[in-house]
Amino acid sequence: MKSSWRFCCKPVLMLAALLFGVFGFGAAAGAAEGDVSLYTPYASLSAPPGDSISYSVDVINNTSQIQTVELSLDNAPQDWKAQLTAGGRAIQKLSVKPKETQTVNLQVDVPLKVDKGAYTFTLTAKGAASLPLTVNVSAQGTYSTELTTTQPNMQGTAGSNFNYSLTLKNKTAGKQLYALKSDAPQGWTVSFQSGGKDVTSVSVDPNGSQDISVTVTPPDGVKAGSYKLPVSAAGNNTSAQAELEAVVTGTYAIDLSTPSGNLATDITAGSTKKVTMQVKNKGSSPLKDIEMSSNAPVNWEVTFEPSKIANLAPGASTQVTASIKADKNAIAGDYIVSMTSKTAEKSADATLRMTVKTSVLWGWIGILIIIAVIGGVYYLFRTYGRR
Amino acid sequence: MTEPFDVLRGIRARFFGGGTPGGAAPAATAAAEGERAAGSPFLAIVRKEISDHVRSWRYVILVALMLLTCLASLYTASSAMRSAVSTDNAVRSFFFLKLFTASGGSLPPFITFVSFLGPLLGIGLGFDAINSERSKGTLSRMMAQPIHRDDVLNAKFVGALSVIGVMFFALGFLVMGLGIVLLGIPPTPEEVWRLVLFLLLSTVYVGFWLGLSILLSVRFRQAATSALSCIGIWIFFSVFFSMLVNLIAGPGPADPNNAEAVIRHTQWVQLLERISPSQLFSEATTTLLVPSVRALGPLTMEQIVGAIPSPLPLGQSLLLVWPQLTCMIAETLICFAISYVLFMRQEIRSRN
Repeated sequence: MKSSWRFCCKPVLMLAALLFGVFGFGAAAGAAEGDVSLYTPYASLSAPPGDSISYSVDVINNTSQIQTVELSLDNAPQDWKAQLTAGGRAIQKLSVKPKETQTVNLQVDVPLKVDKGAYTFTLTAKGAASLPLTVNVSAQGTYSTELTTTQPNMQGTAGSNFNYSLTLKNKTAGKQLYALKSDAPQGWTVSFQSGGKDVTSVSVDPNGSQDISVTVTPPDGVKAGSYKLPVSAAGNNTSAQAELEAVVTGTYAIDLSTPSGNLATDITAGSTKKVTMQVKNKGSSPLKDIEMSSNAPVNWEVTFEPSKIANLAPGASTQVTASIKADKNAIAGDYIVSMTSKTAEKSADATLRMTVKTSVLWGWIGILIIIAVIGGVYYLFRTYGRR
Repeated sequence: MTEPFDVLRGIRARFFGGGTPGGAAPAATAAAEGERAAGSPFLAIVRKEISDHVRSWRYVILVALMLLTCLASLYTASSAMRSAVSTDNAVRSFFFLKLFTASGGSLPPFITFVSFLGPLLGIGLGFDAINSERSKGTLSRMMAQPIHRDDVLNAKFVGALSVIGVMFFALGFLVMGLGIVLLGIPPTPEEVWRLVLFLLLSTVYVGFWLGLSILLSVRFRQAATSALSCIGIWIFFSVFFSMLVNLIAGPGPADPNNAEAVIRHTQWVQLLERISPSQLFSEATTTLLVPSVRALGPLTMEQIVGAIPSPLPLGQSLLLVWPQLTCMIAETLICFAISYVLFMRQEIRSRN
């Protein structure tokens, strides 16, 4: 079939070439209108933003001479990119043999940031032909980055960590490297993890997304309240922000010790010793009505001055003087005296090791007895010594 | 029983500047020693007493007895302790003192030997102090010399006591040194102080028995009588006394739940027991050598509540046994005082 078609066409083509040769002699230097036709089957098509459209354009030489045309794309909307290639290279001019067809490739990139609508541009063979091409952008295009989270608000105590998960979407045409940073209040530690590792930046493919988890550690002694934690992912041209919120609930912690931390002291049996104790609010909420109590051995007396603390702000401490009176029958050695500071919410214990010392009085009495006996012997010496 | 005579010879040599016809080399030496004794007849007699004791068979036998028993108890205690050293950490505090208080199973500990054999040492050195001199007639001859009468008795006491003291310290430090070799653990300073105090205490304790035996040697003319009565008292206190205390104190209160009555009875028993010097000594040594002992009397629950089992510092241990210590020193001095009075009021006649 093919050979028969060529066979019967050949005389027609030869005739046409002859005719062109006769009439078109004067226009041999440049292609005239109608000498060259441009053809592509898809004159109008739809494409989403960010898509890349590839046209195959036939350049048809209608004459019997070689036609050289300069190809260009006119009326192209801004930010649209187009490239003409043939044989793997970008081309500017194209020559077509008489009565033959040459194919060029037109690559048109629809930008991401583009409005919905019809865009028309023209492929022109300079002075010879033009081919209008229409692209219907099917959706509103974007060129942006998105940082989203499904759960921006979390609640926890001052000692807990807050774990958020964020999704970073790259809606640009290129692969982006995003620097992750947070603008948390002072003292807050914010760390980003991707793929189980701590990161400070992530790279996201075009139109891709990346899950990022954020771990937020509140500072020591943070007060109860709601804290805003803005985090951002900054790329080359675009950036995105998300605001996380951490709600710190108040914690109650109380500590009882001595100012120096020394919990061992000594006491003489039957006597009173004053020990200064320190009550500290280590929580993030104020403590109210702290009561001091003690658990001492039998017949020991412990009194506190003051015995009650009305209010203690977070982080503050106050001193309480404990008067410990040892039992007069206490045996020498160590005893345990435990003290408790108690509020409705929390209590703290301090255990004092009291080393009881026996009164030295009986030691002196013993020495006196020995001195008396020695004195008696001395008296005998004097009386019976016969000196 | 030649020592008293030697004393006399020494004294005579001291005062007459020459040997007696029977004067042998020891007498000459004693005389020379007497010359050096700063001119005091008291110190001369003390020196002579010491040299007599040290050279006597009696002393050598007693020291050998002490040494053997102590070394045996040390050996058994240390072999039992060596296996315990690595296991129990709590044991390691005052570990060295355990050498003196721990028993190796087959033999009683060091302190028991001291409390049992110490009286024998005191009795052995003192039971014939005066009466043998008297029975041999040397006392009146000694009295013929220009020396004070009480110097004789004082020197007898001081001489024997210094021999005992030297022996105890030598024995104690020997045991300590052997303990370091056997255990490989040096004692801490507090342990050394406790041991030194223990040795002083032992000297005082033996001093009491010495005073008692000198008292009896003054009282009884026969050495055998005083020796027997001394040994009688010793055996009485170490064997029969506790039975007697139980007899006197009677059974405890009928109602064992009556805490006050129980405590009163226990205190009464303890008071009676403390008449015995060996009881005082064992309480004092236990407290000194076992620092975890915190009280010696009965304890009420009230006193124990809240108490932590911890060792006492040395000062507190000493304060705890201070009454015992006072008692022992006082008893020793009283024994000496009585024998002093008796001796000074006695008639000393020449036998011939």
